[in-house]
Amino acid sequence: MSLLAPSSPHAHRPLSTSHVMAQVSLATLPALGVLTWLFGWGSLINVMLAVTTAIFAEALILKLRKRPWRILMDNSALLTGLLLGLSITPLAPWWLPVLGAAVAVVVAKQVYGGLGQNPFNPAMVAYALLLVSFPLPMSLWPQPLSLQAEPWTFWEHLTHTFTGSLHAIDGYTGATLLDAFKHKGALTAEEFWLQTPVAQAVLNATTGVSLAYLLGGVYLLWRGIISWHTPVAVLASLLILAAFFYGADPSQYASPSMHLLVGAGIFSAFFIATDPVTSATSHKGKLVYGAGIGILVYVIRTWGNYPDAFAFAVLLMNFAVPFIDYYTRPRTYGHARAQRGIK
Amino acid sequence: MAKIWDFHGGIHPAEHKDLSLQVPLRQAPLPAYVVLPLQQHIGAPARPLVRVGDKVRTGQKIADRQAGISACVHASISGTVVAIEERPIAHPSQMQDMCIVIESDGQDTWVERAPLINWQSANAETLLAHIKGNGIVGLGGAGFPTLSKIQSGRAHQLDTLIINAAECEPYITADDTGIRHYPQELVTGIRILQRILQPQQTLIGIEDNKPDAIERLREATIGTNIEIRVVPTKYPSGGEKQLTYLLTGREVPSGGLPADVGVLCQNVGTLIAVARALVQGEPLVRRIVTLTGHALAAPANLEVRLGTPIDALLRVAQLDPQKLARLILGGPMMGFSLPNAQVPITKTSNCVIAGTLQEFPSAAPEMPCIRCGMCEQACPASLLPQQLYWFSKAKEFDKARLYNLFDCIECGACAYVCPSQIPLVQYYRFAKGEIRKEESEALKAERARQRFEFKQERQAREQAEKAARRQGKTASAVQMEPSVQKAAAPASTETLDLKKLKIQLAAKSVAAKKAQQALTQAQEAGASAEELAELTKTFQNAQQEQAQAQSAIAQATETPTATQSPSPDVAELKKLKIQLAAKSVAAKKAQQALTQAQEAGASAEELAELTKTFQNAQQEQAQAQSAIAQATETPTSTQSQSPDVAELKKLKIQLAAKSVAAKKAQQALTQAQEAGASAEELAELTQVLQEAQQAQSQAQAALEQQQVPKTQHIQAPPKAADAHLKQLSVQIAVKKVAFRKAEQAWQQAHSSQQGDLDVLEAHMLNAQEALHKAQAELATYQAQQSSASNKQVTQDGDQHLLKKRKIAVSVAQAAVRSAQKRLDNLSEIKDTPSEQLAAQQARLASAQAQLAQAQDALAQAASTRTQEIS
Ligand code: SF4
Ligand code: SF4
Repeated sequence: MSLLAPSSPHAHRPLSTSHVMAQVSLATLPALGVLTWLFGWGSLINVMLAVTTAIFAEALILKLRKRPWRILMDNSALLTGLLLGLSITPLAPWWLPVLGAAVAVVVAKQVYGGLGQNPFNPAMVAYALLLVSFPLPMSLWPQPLSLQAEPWTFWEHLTHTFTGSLHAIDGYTGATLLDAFKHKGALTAEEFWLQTPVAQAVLNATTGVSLAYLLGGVYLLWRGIISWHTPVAVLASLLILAAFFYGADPSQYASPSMHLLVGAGIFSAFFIATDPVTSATSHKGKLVYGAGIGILVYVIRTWGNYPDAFAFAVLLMNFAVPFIDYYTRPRTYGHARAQRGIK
Repeated sequence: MAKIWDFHGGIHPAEHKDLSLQVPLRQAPLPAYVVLPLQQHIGAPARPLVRVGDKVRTGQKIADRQAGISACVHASISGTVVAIEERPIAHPSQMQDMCIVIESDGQDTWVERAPLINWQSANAETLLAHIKGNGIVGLGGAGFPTLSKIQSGRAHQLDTLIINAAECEPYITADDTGIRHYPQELVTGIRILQRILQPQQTLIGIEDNKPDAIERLREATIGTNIEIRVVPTKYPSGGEKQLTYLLTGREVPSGGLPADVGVLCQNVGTLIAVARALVQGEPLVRRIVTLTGHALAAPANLEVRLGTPIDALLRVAQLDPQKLARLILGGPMMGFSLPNAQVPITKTSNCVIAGTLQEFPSAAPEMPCIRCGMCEQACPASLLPQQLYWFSKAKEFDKARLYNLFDCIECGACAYVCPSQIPLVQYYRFAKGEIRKEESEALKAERARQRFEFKQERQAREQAEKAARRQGKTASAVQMEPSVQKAAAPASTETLDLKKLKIQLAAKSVAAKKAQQALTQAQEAGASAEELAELTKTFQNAQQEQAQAQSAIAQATETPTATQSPSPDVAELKKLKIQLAAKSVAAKKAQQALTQAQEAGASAEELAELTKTFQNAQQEQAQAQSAIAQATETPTSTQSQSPDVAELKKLKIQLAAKSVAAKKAQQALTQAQEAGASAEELAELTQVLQEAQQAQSQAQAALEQQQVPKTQHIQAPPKAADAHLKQLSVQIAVKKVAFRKAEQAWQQAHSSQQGDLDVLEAHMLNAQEALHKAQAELATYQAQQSSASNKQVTQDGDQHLLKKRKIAVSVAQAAVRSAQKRLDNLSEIKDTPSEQLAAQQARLASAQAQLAQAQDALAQAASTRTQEIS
């Protein structure tokens, strides 16, 4: 009798990287459903385009780099495409998600050496690039279906995506609600809501989407796929800042609930900031990292030039991750204090 | 309910404990033979007390513990010793080790048992003696001898005794079973330990997944001051450090023991064994083993005789070989897998898992780390496993160390949760192994360096002694020429030497005092045993040096009178006697240090080191004695003999001594080989032998050289200068031989790629340097001679002095240079301990001081000379 003698531990938790990625992907499905239900087929088409491109690009690069095929099974390209497709406007022409997904996989991930090596969140790199390069198509959001007289069918939408030649729908061209709010001019908050009856409908729709993301996030927490530290830190810091300024001058600043529910707040807190590869490692580090994102988001939203700021906030904090990691090392058992900093 | 301090991390793997709990504990059938390794514990292996063919009875002591950390071994069945040889043992590295093999006579006849009647009133020493005599070691994990553990615990301020009944690893139920079947024995064992240790509190830590065992414990501990603390099931709550924190909230300091925070942990099985040993007089010959896994049709807990081959047990548990995919000794988290079952159960084997492929699928391919941080959340030591992994993989060991790699307990929690299936623990083991290897190499190099320096020092000393003797001779010769006497008198070299010696003595005393202070401080600050040992050694060295300096002064003060007296042999004899006294003191001190270390439970390595020191000291003492004996035999005859004859005798004596030393070294080597010493030890001994042989051949060469000129001497009466010249040439010859040998050794090692090349190279270079020095010395001397012969005799003394001073300066310069170089080398090597650096700096400083002194002396001599000439 002669057996293999692998070393300990011999037991392993039945949870693999591809499993983790698949779970996260699964958790976005409610939101994808709600988006499609409230805003039409655009998001679904985006997601399909982005995912296909991402997987294809990954396969191509793996072949060029002569890496084993099984890496494709880690589902990370799938997830990157999915997240990008979800964050792009449903009215996007086809090349936006395609270009974005290619950039995300090739430039933001594989160029750095593949999964685990990339310092920046690939989906957010792509999103930021698109936003800077093509600000107009990127910020053109449709009105909720409830306000549209004649919603597009799937085929109509598909035609629009690929040719852009279809008749225009009643696009809510003021970009997102947050952007509209920021450019309300001399109006007070009260007047803004009165002025724009459409806003109420949009608010309801985006709230629905945010709640769907929240559902997915809670699922991930429950499954132990993500830890609570990052999302809680992001949302708490954002809310505290919003509450402070809103309390100081409710007529000028958006309310905390608006910051929470409108825009990509919950989506980013649960799905983007928690990206394991590009976030801080320790619990404490995750709190710092998350809080940094929340603060940056508020600052850019309120005083910056971009309507929503998650991509930039996340990328900026990605920069800071090595630094955060150095300074938030946990205290090892049996040591009087934690070691800090670079030695 | 007492507070439970939850520790960071931890995991909840599937337990699979009920698998082996379906049937009650039973005795395993007596094996046909047992294989008892001599080392079933941490520490030195036991020494066999039996020979092949001996009849033994169950419970008979068949191998005795060595001094220090060790444990004895008892026969676990009655029968005949059929072999004492290397056999495969259960070890992660699948190695072989010395074992005593006993063939059963099927009778299981016991020796007469010697229980300790009335342990309740016995004192701690008696109780400990019984624990020691019954070969008890920790049955839970690594097998640390219980005696040593208790003793080291007693050396600390203990207030808490913890009984580790957590048994957190999946599958294992041996302790659970032990508690349920032998609660009374367990409690007795606890009370025996309480009696020895007198702790303020005694806590049993047990996971809440063992309700039956908890119930039994409750019943058994009624009316005692033993508290049961139920902790939540979470792996690895049974780790000593984790359990200590769970129950007391105290963290065992990094690199320390629970005893450092007043805690001693003992395992359930160990305590049952203690109770059996003392109350029933049953030595450690059996233990409970869990046989489990889905490849067994009848998993169970069995009480197994030590040394039973695992395959016999698997048959009892009805193994289905078709299903077996992995055989694990220990638990699935920290146990190791066995390539086959032909290895014996030892004192530390608590569980055998015969797993199927479904239970233990072969490892999935390793995926890239996605930095998910799950490992960190699982790590009970609050480490950053992910970073450790990156550093280990990139071989950035110093960084891994900085991230506290050595606080990793290899629990495997991180690897268990890693979604990328990275075998993290394997990386850590690799990194730890590499770091340890580097360290031991550095240590070896350092030792070699020290040995070399010591040798150099000794040679220098011998040279100086010779020179002094020679000077004494010339001085007495010079006495006959009154004019020279006048010149030499004012700057009496003896007084100068004495002064220097006194300064040296003062310096050494200061050093000794400092070393003592450092030691006391370290003791108060609670330094680790290792550090203390180190400091103790430093202190002893300093003391020894002080003693040497003292005896040198004594010698020096005596020499002036001696040199005046006509018989140099009396002086010689005195010197020898003083030497003998010094050596005896050194030997005694070495013995004391050894005994102390033994009592303090020093590591085997340290003990070996000390033993060697002791033996060396003894040897030197013996040498000194024989030298005296020889010297006293010939006092009258030497008087009439020419100095060369005396020299010859001395050389002969030296040769004899060296031959004895070489023989002894050879013996030690053979013994070590027979006793199955480790490769490292053997290498060490081989080196000693080679050194001794070399010394012997050197002595021989010197003798031969001396004999050849002797015949010439008879024809032409010798001049003192000639003698010196000859001595120098002899030295050069010796050095040449040494260099050639070192070179050969290096070349051999180089071509065979074996042995420590660095050390050998260092030897070679050093030998070369020594050779060059000797040659230079000869050249200077010759130059000096030729010039001296042209000059007047009156100037000769001064001139001689001047030259000598010059030589001294150049030698001191060389010393400074080499010290500087060594310092540079040291500081280049990363991670050189700061003490080492400091020591080297001090060495440099002292060399510089000596240089300054020598320069001063030179200047003085030069000025005197110019004055005289003018
Ligand atoms: S094996 Fe080491 S690093 Fe991994 S969890 Fe255990 S203690 Fe932490
Ligand atoms: S659990 Fe594995 S994949 Fe996750 S951070 Fe640790 S090592 Fe990397």
